[in-house]
Amino acid sequence: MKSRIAPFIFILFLLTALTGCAKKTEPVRREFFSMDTVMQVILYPDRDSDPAKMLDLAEQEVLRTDALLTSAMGTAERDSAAKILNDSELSALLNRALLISADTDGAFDPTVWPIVDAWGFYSGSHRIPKEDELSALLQTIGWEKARSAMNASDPDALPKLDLGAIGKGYAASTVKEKLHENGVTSAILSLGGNVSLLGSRPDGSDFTVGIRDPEDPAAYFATLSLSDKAVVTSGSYERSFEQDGVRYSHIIDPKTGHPVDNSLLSVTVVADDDILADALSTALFVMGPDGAAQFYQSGLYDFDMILMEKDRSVTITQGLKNCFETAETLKGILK
Amino acid sequence: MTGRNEHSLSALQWILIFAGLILLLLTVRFFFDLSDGNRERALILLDGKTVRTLDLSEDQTFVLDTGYGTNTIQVTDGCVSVTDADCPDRVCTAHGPLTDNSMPIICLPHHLVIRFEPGHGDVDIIAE
Repeated sequence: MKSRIAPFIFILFLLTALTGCAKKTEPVRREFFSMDTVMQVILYPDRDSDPAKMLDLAEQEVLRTDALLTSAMGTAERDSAAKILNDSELSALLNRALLISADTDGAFDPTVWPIVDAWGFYSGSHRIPKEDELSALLQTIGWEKARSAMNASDPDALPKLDLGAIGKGYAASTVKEKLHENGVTSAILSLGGNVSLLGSRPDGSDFTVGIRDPEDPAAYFATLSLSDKAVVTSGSYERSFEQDGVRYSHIIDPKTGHPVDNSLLSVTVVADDDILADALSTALFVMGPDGAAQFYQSGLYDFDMILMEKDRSVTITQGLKNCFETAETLKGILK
Repeated sequence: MTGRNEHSLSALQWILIFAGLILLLLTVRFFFDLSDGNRERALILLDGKTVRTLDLSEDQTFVLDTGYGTNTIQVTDGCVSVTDADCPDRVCTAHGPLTDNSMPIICLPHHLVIRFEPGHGDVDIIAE
């Protein structure tokens, strides 16, 4: 009798295991607007956590960071400049930004604000500044000036700043920290397209991140299988404008004052550090494909990248070769 | 005693039954996974709040006043898209039909997001 019942118990066990109990954890998500862009938070809650509370926590932290960075944006008034130098969080962030500026030989420069403003990228009223206007503005900017002002604790000498180029990276890092402290082990943040992955999927597998096709806003040209990484893309397609048949990218070369115009369509940086990924995606785009390759090979920072050029050829770095898929022509794998 | 043994299933037969059952259940689960995420209904969100749920089986076109401007939303043949908008960049109209939750239709100037009801797509998220 016992041997006849055993198979049925086994079948019952199988049915339970394969249907009810093995049900996947469903993510909860929230979209909201901050930093002039759309933010998405996707959480895979565990049994003990309150998903709505965790989403609130993430949203509040992004809004807090936005308010903090806005207070440092383009400011030249002495009080605001003094606030930057005296606020430990802002001065630490500016310090980090200036370190990356030095390491990228100024390809990333948070003092480029007046020139971005002159091209109308902040107001949306785009214009092409005259050369003498740009030459005059170039004299006023430079990360070295900000460094000197910080070293001398002199708010009067602090140039106008745009920490927006690392703002989303900074927000991602602080949100992830808050979520992690509250026991969240699996989450995806997309802060204006900057992707940050906390942990992996609840089943332990990697997340799949699509890389937007620079020439088609509704498509992606590659996928990456990753956990616990930041993935940030910069491209000439973002916030660009066209005048007299010429397209002007919002990414300004701090050395020339002109929008970057090289063979790159987009640069994607993959790194552990959100702030670094954010800053490097801008810096490598300014450097162009050869400069970016040299910078990667210098070994100064630990990161990987995907370069897509105007002929749609794709170059990746060796750290991505086992997690990267694309239907485009792979030009090379940098070592 | 001998007669009862003749009608009992052998160990091999039991294994075959279990294997067949597992295969059947895995197939059922596979098709459940494919349909995971509701592609029959889309959500319209303004400032992160759902303001309307669209039944994608019903063709319709309407103008949505977002408070920041207007977007013309069209549902046809089970697909939703923004066909017109008075926003300055018109990125939402260039997006085309909604195909995947990793790439929702976004109109940044009008604080508008259109996406499927929660579910899975081919990818989890898009870096852009």
